Amino acid sequence: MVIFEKASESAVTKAIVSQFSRDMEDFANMDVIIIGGGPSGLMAARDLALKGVKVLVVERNNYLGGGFWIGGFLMNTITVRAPAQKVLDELDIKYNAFSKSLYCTPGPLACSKLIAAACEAGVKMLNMAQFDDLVMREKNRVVGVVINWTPVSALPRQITCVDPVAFESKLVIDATGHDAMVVRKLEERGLIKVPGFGAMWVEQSEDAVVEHSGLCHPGLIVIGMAVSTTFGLPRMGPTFGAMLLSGRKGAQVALQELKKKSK
Amino acid sequence: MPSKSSRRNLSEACNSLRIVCESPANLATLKDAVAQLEELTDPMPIVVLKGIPKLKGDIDEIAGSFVTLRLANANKRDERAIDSFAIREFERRVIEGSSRARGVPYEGVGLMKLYHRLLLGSSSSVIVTDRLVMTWSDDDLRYHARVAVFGFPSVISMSGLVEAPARPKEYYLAKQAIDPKGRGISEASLAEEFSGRFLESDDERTPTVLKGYLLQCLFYANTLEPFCKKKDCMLYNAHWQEEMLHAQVESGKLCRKHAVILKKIILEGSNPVLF
Repeated sequence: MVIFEKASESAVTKAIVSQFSRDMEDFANMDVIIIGGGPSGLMAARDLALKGVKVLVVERNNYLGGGFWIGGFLMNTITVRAPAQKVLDELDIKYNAFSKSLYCTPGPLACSKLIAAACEAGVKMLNMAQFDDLVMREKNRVVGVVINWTPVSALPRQITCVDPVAFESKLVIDATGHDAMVVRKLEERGLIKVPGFGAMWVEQSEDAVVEHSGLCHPGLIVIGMAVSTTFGLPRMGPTFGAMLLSGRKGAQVALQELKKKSK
Repeated sequence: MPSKSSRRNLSEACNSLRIVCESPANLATLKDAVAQLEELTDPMPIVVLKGIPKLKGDIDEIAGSFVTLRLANANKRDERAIDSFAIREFERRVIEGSSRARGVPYEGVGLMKLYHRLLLGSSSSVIVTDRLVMTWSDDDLRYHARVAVFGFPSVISMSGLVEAPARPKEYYLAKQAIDPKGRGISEASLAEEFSGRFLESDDERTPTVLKGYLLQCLFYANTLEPFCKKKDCMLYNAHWQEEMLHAQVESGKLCRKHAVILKKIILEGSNPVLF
């Protein structure tokens, strides 16, 4: 007596290829592409998908969640300051109060719930794929991204003549953390000046990141820690409320921009 | 500087006080402060306006004007921040009220002139902003954060209430001892140790302190002199947080001389000195 039904090796391969092929066709034209699958990117993606927006998250690692698995210094307790615990409530993530304004939750719980919430909302994910460049049109408007498989960048140059592919989208969101990879690509072309992030100042940086999250170039929104780099704000410390609220703010700005485009 | 005619235009309603609240997020605190102020200035009407009324000009041009006032370096005169699409977009959101410019440093006199242009004809004598207002000092050749810049209109900075007057000396010494680079998480633990000795963001004393600065603006609009030398008077020009809290919270009163002038401002309405 066997447990599983029959499926040949070739059938499994065909299933993987045909499903992934259909997904890739979808990815070629999205409403919003988010580069970076950390907490801010996932939060923005989830909020947008819940509003019926076609969203793709491109993540260079195999795993989604970025630094949200680990709280800081390799200790997997996540902290958020009020009022970000309301987002934890919304995502049904259990937490305990460390003080009247600071809350703790296990990283694996918070991160897995956020990933699940994004997936369940309908967000498409492409992991092990790395942002390579931008697609631009008239007046340097960002209209998509060029990506390649992450392993390609890890191989010796002589054997990596692997051309990337491009996806088009109405908006791109940079959620790549302090690297601000997408914004930096604009800087390489002299289209934006990036002051880089300042020293850590948790109390100031969280508010500032949320307030500055938004459109930073035509077609490009910046959220999360990339905001610190783009605007020269104090760097983020090991607390995550701003990542969640910055993602939410980015989604709000994206919705406004999409609305403008549809008029 | 504002012309005499436009200055008269902005301050002609000295028997009333019109206050513009630039960020909707400060409205509740400002209304609390005004309620306290009205106890001192009754029956003088005080009007609070939400946002800059009838914004004159193109919003992108105005956003650009704010960008040119952002300071990049507190130690170099007139070194301005980067002008980019991202910063302009942020400024546009601040004007629209969907983002706040808390702690962002701006050149104070230029900011006051810009508000003068934007508020011309609105008879508003005070604007309350989130922006951190800085003015250059020739004494030590650097910019200093200010709670208020007096003019037509006078500008009160909500960030300045927290950032401008210095915290106790011991606070800075302790901070230096814990973290030689003066940064990082130690800030929070120090805030706890020195709790109550300086104003913090969302401090419940903020409306009471703000009331005192509104009063200073009212005096400036009517007498061109916002300050008093007496430490117990709400018009005291505090350079330390503890001085500010003493004048505005512990004392919470005007000295005898300024109490008399205030009565005159309220009853006679028009400016007793200039007009």
